Amino acid sequence: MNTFRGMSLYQFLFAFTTLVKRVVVSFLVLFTLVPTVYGVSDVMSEEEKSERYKAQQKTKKQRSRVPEYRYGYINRRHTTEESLKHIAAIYGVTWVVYPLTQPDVVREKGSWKNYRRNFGQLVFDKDEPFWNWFVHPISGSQLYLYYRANGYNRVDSLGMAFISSTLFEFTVEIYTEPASIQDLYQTPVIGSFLGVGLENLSLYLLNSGNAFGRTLGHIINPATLFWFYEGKVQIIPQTNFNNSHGLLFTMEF
Amino acid sequence: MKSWIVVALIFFSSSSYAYRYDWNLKGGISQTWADLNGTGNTEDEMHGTGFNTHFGYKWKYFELSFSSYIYWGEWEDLTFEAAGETIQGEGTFRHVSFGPILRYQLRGVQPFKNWFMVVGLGPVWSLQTVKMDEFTSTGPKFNRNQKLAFESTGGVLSIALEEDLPYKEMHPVFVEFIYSYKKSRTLTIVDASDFVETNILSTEEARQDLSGHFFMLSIGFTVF
Repeated sequence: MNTFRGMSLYQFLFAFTTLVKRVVVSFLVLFTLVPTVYGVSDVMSEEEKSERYKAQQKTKKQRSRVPEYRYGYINRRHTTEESLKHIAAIYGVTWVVYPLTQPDVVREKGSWKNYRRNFGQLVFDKDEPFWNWFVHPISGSQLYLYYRANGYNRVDSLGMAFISSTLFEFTVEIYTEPASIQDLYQTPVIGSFLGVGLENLSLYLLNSGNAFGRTLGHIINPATLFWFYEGKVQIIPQTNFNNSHGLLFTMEF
Repeated sequence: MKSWIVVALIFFSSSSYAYRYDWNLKGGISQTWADLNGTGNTEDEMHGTGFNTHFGYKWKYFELSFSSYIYWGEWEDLTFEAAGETIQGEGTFRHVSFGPILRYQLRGVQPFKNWFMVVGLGPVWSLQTVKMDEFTSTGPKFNRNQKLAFESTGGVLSIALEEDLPYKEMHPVFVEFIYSYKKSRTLTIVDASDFVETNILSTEEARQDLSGHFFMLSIGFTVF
């Protein structure tokens, strides 16, 4: 059945409601958005501007839980030299951390004779689940988060964690025991799995806007506390209460 | 006009392939059932729960991943030989396996929208750690503070249904059925009385102990 210029009733109603929507949206744009950008500041007196500025400062002081920084992660390319420096830095740290965290094992089982004997060996270790399924994945997750903090994407962070943990297994831990198949795989892979969860949870906590959340976020993701963390940004709204408005964007690196 | 719409639909639908030529990390949870063969033709069924991870590279249809399957289980009555003694009883079972698995996506098999069949094959190396709870032993050497660790080798065959989505950030899901056969090669008796330090008491050839057929159902997704 034709009702209007060859259109069916359904087509006519659809066209009519679309036209009504467009008219309503146009009115909204004209009478709400445009005056706030172009009109209001022109009609405000200097006194009104000053009062508004004071009120804003007062509100800012009262709302002390507004987060000062925004935490996140950036992914960028790295030069080979930069990546080698990171691997060297972590490698150096493992030589210090291993004897500090396991002094009894190093004292009782460690020797350069064992080092020579274990060099190049790869075995299934018979350690308790606490070590293989808790300590090593936790270490792997922190390695992953270290590289994430330095601007590596997720896959690259896993790859770098794999290189770092492999170097540890084959050249540091062999002072006390041979390299382990479980540790070689589980430290970077399950560590990265865990690291993704810690990454998301820590960002949620760090951006929660309260001190407790920030503290907890830094505890589970300590790499966010250090100078090398590249995802800490500061965004401050700026206005002169005239026609200029903007955002001041500051990033630490 | 209609023909143009059909052409446009084919064009846009054919461009929505899953991510290609990229690394990925997948993980999931699994249930395992196994028929275990111990010494002297003894058999028992085992049921285990655990998780699995896969880190690999995906080409167009092929995917090579290093996979690990971990699960915990228990059995009621099985017989082992260790340190010259025959040990029979019930206990708990811890399994970890690693291996490269080559998978191939069958583009012709698409039972549901965006879901394709994937078949995989690969060798596997595993460690099964056995802790006896209630047992009898023919000698005095083996006691409750010790555990048996079997190193096994075998193969894995997998058939999976996997989502084929344009981006891996959409976290494609997979449901995988895995069959594996493993046979123990070496048996190590470990002193498990110290939680921190592991003392290996003896290592011997395991021969036929703890071989078996393992069936696993795994459900997981691409993490990144």
